[in-house]
Order: sequence, then structure tokens, then C-alpha cells
Amino acid sequence: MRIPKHGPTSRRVSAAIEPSRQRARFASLGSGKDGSVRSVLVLYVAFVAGGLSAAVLVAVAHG
Amino acid sequence: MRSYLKENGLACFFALLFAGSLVAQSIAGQHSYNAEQSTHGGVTVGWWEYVTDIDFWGAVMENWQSEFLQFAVFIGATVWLVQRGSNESKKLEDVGFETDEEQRVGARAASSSPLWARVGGFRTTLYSHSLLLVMGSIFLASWLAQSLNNWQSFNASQREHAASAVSWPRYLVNPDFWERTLENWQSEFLAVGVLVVFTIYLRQRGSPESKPVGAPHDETASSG
Repeated sequence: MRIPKHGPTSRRVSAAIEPSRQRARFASLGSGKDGSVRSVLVLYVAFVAGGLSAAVLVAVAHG
Repeated sequence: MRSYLKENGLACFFALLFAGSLVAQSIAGQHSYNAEQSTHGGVTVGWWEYVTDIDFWGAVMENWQSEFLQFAVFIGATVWLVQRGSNESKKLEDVGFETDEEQRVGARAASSSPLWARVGGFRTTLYSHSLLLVMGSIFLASWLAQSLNNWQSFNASQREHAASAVSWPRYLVNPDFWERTLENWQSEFLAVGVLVVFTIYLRQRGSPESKPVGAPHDETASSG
């Protein structure tokens, strides 16, 4: 990582440390209690996306 | 597994209700469709044929759009409007988007706050309204899907009666589309209004959708 000439701005700091923070957050969401919560989110997103996709596809197919 | 079901009981319960109701709707809908076809000397259809038909998805989307509209409007309205005594309202003095400290965003966020609540700028602004944006988007998408299915169904009926088909933009101003839309909206808005007002005076012990049983009628924004 290139070190900014005049010291890191707050934006560069956040850009630099965000990936590791995100990895930590996703790692915690992917396991244990948070992981189970995430699985119900995936289920409901699948319900909504599946229903909307099917409805549009059927309408277009009958067009 | 037992732990999973306990921690996700609400989501699993409603997922089962949703899936069961959708399957039951498709079976009842197929029988109703076939009964009508028989009455008019038409061809009956199998279950798969029915669930890949515009009539079924038009009916499904009619209800979806109104439900997501209901919640989107409720989420947005409760930012700015309050109801004295209601469990569904926030406190009368909290009208508006509230302070960063109250909402725990930006510099006021905790280390355990979601990343996009902490970083500030556009991402925090977007995340601050993400629930309304997503619910509103699902409403618009399902309303669009309803209009496409109802439009095809309307034109099929027009052809059966030797009448001319209409374009999709013209169907959007047709009374058929608005009757199908508004018959669902009116019931959703009534149900939300009833919930807002009835929670002032009525209680359900143990439910967060109610005030505590002993809470005074004029106590606002308290969960039991």
C-alpha cells in the first residue's frame, strides 16, 4: 500500500482498513448465531426475487 | 437445529405460512379457474399450467404490491407523524430523523455498529434510509409485475370478446388496473390505521406489538 505523502487523510485510512473490517464482519456473520440470522435473510431475499422474476417472466412469455 | 428454530422462530413461522398459503392459493385458484372454464365450455388446465399463467401471477402480485406499499408508507409516515397513546408510534417529541447521537451514526456510532453507519458520507445516508428504499423498490417492482400480468390478462379477455387489445401505457390508465390496485390498497391502509388506533386501548400480554397490559392509554411508544 502506498503511504500518502502528507499523511493519511481520514478517507484514505478508512479505505485502507475497510477491507479487513469487512472481512471480520462477514466472517462473524457467516458463523454461529449471526450466520443463522443471515440464512433467513437469504431465504426471504430468494422468496421476493423468485416471485418477482417468475411474475415478470410469465407476463413476458405470454406477450 | 433446535437453537436455530428458537432464534429464528418468527422468520421460519412466516416462511412456512407464506409457502403454504401460496401453494394453497395455486390449488384453489386452479379449481376455481377450471370450474369457470367448464361453465363456459372452455378447456380446463393442470396445476403446472395454472401456476405458469398470467392469472395466477397477476393475483399474487396484486397482493404483494399492496403489502409492500403498506409497510413502505408506514415506515416513512412514522418518521414524521405520531399518534398519542399508540405503541406503533414513537414519542411525540421525536418527530423527524432524530440526532446522530440518537441514531448512533458517524462519530456517534459504536464499534459494534454496522460499517455503513460508522463511515459517514453517502454510504451512511444511504444506509440510514435502506429499509424504506428496499421496501419501496419491492413495492414498485411488484406493482410493475402486476400491471404486466393484468395487462396480458385484460387483452386476452378483449380478444375473447372480439374487442381490440390495448397498449401497456393505455392499460395503466384503465379502470380495470386501478380497481385491482385500489381494492388491495384500501384494506391495507385500514388495517394499519386500525392497528395504530387499537393499540392505544387494547393489549396483548407479551407481544412487542402491544403496550404492557398496565400501561396507561395515553402512554406512547412503549412495548410490552
